[in-house]
Amino acid sequence: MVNGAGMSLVGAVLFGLGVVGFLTRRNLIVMFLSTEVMFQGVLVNLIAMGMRWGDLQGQAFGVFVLVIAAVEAGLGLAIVVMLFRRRGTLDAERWNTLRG
Amino acid sequence: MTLKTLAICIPLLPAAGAVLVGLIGLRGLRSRSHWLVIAGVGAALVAATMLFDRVRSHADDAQPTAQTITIYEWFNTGDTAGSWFDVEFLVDPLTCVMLLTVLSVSLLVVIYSVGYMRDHHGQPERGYERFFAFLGLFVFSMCTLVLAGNFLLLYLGWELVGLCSYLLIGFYYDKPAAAQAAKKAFLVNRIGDFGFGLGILLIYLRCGDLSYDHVFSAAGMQQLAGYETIVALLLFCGAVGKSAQLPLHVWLPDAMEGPTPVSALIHAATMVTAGVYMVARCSVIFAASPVAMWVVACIGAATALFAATIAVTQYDMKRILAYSTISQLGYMFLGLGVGAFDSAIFHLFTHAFFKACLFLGAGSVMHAMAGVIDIRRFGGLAKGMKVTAATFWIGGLALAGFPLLAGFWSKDEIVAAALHSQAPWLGWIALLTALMTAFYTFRMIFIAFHGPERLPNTVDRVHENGRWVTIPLIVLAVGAVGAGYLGFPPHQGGLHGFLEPVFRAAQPKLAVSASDAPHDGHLLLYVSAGISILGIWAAWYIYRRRPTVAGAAASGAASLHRMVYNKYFVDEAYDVGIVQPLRKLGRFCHGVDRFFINAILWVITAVPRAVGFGLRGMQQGSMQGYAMGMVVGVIAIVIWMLIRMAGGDAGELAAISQG
Amino acid sequence: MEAFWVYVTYVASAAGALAIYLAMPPSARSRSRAALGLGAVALGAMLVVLHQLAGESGEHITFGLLSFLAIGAAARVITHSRPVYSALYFVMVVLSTSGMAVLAGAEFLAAALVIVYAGAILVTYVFVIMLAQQPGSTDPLASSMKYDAMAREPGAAVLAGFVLVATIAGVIVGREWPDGVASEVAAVGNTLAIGDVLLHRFAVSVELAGVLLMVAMIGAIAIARKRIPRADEGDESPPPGEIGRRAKPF
Repeated sequence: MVNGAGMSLVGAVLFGLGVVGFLTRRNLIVMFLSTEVMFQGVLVNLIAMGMRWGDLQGQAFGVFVLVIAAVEAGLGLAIVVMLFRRRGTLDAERWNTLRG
Repeated sequence: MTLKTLAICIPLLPAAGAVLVGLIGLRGLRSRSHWLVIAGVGAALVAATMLFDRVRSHADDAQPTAQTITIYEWFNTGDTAGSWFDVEFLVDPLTCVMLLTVLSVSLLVVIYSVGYMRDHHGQPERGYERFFAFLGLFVFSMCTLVLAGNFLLLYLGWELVGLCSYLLIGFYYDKPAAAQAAKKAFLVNRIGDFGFGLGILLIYLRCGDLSYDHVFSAAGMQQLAGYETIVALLLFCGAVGKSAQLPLHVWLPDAMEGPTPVSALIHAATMVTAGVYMVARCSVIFAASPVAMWVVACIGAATALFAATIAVTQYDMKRILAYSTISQLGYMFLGLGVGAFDSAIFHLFTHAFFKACLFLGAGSVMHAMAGVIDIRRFGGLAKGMKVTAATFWIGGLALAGFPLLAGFWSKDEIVAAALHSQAPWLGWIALLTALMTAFYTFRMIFIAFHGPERLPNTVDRVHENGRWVTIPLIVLAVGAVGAGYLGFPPHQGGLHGFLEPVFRAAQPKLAVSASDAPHDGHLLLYVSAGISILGIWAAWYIYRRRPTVAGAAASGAASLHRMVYNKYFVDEAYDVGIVQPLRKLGRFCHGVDRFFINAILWVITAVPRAVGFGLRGMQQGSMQGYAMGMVVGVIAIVIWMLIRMAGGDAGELAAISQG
Repeated sequence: MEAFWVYVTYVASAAGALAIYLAMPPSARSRSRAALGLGAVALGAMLVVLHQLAGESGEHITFGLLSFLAIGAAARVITHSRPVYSALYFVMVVLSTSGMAVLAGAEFLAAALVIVYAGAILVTYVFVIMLAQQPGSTDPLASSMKYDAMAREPGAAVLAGFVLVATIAGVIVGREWPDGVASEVAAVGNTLAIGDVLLHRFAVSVELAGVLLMVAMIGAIAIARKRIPRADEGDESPPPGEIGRRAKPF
């Protein structure tokens, strides 16, 4: 595997699936899981690009994406727990206070 | 000390006292606040005396008596280079006389206030330090007005004293009547000041300069030629407002709501005479216009008689004195109008002393009567308040023109000048007014100080006020006796000689010059002395011998009495004629504002409101809805970039992708 | 590549999008069967395209298998009506992508993915899913809320996803990909090389990432520790939005 085209394609598909999941699922936890899928797509794409250019920066950025994903998961899940404790449900549609 | 230093000191010393009291009075000084203002005014009086000395010594020298001192360049009018308005002071005999009058009366009133602005336990009233700060500010403003060397600075001082008057009338601002009176004084003065401002603007348009030096010079008068009458009448508007002449006199009686020392200082002795001073200062302009002189004389005479009739029927001591002040100011304008400028200033000078003395005496009575000032409610106070009664008598005699006292000499000169003018009947009006003056003054004295002792319920016994109050009274009483001798013998006294250079330029323009009026011996002196004594006797007869006569006379001419007692219904006429229509106009404008302007605004704001109403539906409040928006945006950006790639920037992107 | 393969990519994307749409909950047997068929078509077409893209290199069979696994598992993550299963499928996605990373020569990243994602993050997810179960339900794997059983506007979302993927994939497929540049990794080993890059070129960023982790940890603790009164379903005061909605502009 010497060019990144295939991996890039897989990354794009994973990202697209994550987007669709985030938009359609109403469970806050599954929505977060969908963002993790999007992260996977980005990560795969970074690896592919690093391969394409023969540079390790892609993988280094992959490590940072990993860090951000961990941070996001920690904070996001903490917020989810708080929201769940307040309303007793994980339905994202229940949180529409900003409705005009 | 140079003349400049002296001139700067005079307004700034009281101002410094006022500012200091204003800054630290409430926290540090409180009941000792008066010392700073007394010191400031006293020092200014010393400086004014030194200035007077300089000017008098210069009168003998070859140097000109009038000197303009430029303090600093104020601002540029921008028309031409070098056309600066300066803060400049004019020092001449008229200035000196005014300064001495203002500062000496001010000093005495400030001292008097120390005793007056306290309750019976000697504790200062609320706002004690504020009162003294305002007094200091007033002295500063009045000195600026008097010292001003151009019309702009004069206008500044003019408005400043108006402000001080407003602040001090409304000193008891929690009393509705005082607040109303303050507003009334300010608004009525604005009417006059509007004309005054127009006059100054017209002078500037014609002469291109507002400095007295230029305007009053031959060249300046040349530029004003043809406009003297309109300029003089506009300036006189300001004087009518400030000096409470017909028809703008209505504010002065109401101004008595202020503390009595204020009435004495501002609304009797000094500020209200600013109009007289201003007309005298502009004597050159006025003398050049016979019409304006005629208007000044007529309004003066009419006001003198009008106010005197009202004073006869009033019962409030301070109001009687207020109408008396209006009447005496009318005298001064009569004197100015017939060309006897020096006599008018002489009367201003003597009037300041005896009227201040009377007002302070009334204040002393009011203080002893626990705020009651209606002469129907007390009487026979002479036994309990010997000093007040004695000084009030002296002041009253001077006001009534009793022979050999101050008012006698100065009033007599004006009467003489009026009798020798082109319209001698003005002189007869003046004599009639003199009779009524003597009558109402002693009506008040006989009711209040003589007869059986009557006291308001709230007062147990009469007691004389402390020395802070009585000493200024005594000094002013001495002034009421002696001030007249500065102008003795009539028309040739020291004061006249001193003032003569000021009015020298105006004299040749007069149709009938006061100075060359024929002197018919001492006949007039005897006549006016007789009139004065007749008035006093009438008051004694009606109010002491036959107390029923007054009531019978009042009920006999009930409608006349009611009209005069209600001040000829002038206030009511203004209310119906001016205030109510204006209020209706205001309501109409308010309605237009509410229903027309607001409707326009409503229509204009309807657009964003409608748009907001339409777009509100987009805000679903759902997190995923917003995420959807983001995704659509991302897609739009991606597609846009692809289109760019396919278009002109293909090479650029190819370069990137090729590395 | 030829335009033909771009159109194949578009068709495959459309088939995949349709499959996802059909697979979205609520699921019926007929719909899921159709979804399965369409998904197989889409994945097969994609594998063909991938084969074309890979050119002459030898490892494309393994890569194709991993892609198949990753995309299939990701589809299940977003379509499964039970959160626990979603999480488990996500493990599969992570494992597949780490396999791809190994293929790409990124062994360190592959290991880190497995350890951090599958080992740490996923455990947290499962833990939260357990925590947020409806009281009374004993079997966490079986529980399924009604909001899990119902997708939200799947049509619009799938359409947006399709446009996004088709656009990007079309560009990837339509472009000539030159051969990759051989990196210097082979000489020293991937882990050493990436450590060198991180600690030399991105030293500050690494420190910042550390700080960020700590801040996030403190934040998460602060958020989760707060005692929140649980509002009952019944006497809930209307949120401010309710008032605003009733307000009339005229």
